Amino acid sequence: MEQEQSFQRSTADPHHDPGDFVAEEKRIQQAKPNYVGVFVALAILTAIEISITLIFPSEEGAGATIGRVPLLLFLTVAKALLVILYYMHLKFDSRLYSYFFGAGVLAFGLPFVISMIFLMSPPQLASQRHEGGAPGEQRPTPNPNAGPPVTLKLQGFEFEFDPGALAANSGQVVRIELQNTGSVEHNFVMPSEPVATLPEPWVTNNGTVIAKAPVASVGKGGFTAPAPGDYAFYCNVPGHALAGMHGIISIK
Amino acid sequence: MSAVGKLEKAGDRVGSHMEQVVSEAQVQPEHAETTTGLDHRKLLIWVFIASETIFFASLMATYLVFRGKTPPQDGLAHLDLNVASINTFILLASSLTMVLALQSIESGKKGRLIGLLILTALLGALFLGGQALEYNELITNGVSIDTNLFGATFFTLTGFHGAHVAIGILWIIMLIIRALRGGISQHNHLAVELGGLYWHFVDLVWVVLFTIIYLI
Repeated sequence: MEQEQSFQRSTADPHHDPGDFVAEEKRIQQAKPNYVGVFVALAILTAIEISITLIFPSEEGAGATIGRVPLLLFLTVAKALLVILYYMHLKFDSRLYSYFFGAGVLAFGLPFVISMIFLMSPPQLASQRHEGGAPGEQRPTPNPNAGPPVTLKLQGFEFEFDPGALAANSGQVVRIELQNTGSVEHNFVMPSEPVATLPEPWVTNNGTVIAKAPVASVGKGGFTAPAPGDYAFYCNVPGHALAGMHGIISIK
Repeated sequence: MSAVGKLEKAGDRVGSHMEQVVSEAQVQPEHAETTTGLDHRKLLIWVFIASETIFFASLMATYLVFRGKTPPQDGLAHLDLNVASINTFILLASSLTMVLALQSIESGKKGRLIGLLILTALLGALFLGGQALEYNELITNGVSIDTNLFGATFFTLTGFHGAHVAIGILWIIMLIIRALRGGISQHNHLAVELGGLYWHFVDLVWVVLFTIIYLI
């Protein structure tokens, strides 16, 4: 009888599913998941999330509530698990589906995304590489008249440096103090070539990040002034230099 | 077609039926003939969903890396938490109707299946409407995909999600048509299950997007 039914099914429709869905169907029907209950749980978790955001709206800075972000992420993971386990019924399905899904995400996805995050933040890495001086990099010619180290202070905000013109002597040790008076992060990048050969270094993200200033802070850093010429320093947060956040440092 | 041809064809059909009966009697009748014992179409959907997870994780990582690098008044401040919250509830509800649709066909209620699928598609369309409202608000305030870092990352991320919702709606419409034409039955509803898996995944992505864009 059982075989006859199966025979009829398979011949009635050429696209019939010979898969394990019958067994699985039984499993799910036996488990009787309360889908409406899952929806109610998801709705309550969402309401809690929204309330947390409304009650503790502070983004960053002094007023930030400690634990707000981890709590929100925890609630999100809980919601995601409810959807995966019940609505996508991995809880009742063959473990192999979970393995294929989990292995795909953990083995390929996670390393890929993590390396992507690092690749997308090249300025820091570039500056670390430049610290010791890249091999073959031209050292500034020692200048006996370079003078003692000099500290240049400037402000950065959307989207400008103030002052926009700086000066130093070739070979002189220059310290940069960048005060961020804007509402987003800014930095100070010193290009490797003067304006004569590289008028817009930000187009190729050329140069070294000397100082990084998060909101309402002072970023400090230093470099040895290169060969004489005008250099177009800039902020390499994407879009900032294009919006006008660059200036000239004249090296004599 | 000649009578002989017809006879030949009928004979072939009987022959293949017989072979099937024999093979089903030998092998376990209720099981797919695959090395894993699983239905490979369903396995494929799960592998596809894993790859989609990586795709959206990359876009989310991009959004988070560039988060806070655009002044709020040039982007984030124009988002409305109310619209996004309503959209979240709409999409969660559509997941419920989808899973209830699958449950209906599992117990053979085809009319209920079609009704719930229609409801799911409508909720999906409503979600897209909310997203259109949100996009309109941003664009009238001068924030679009090429304005700044926020615009670029936000529109890419939510745009791809919206496209997935739109594809999901088309998928559901195809399921409705198939059900109306009799292609889906109590014991042949894998198509509903696969469409459902995709739809729940799209909902899942929104669960995470909602947190990282609107809440954090």
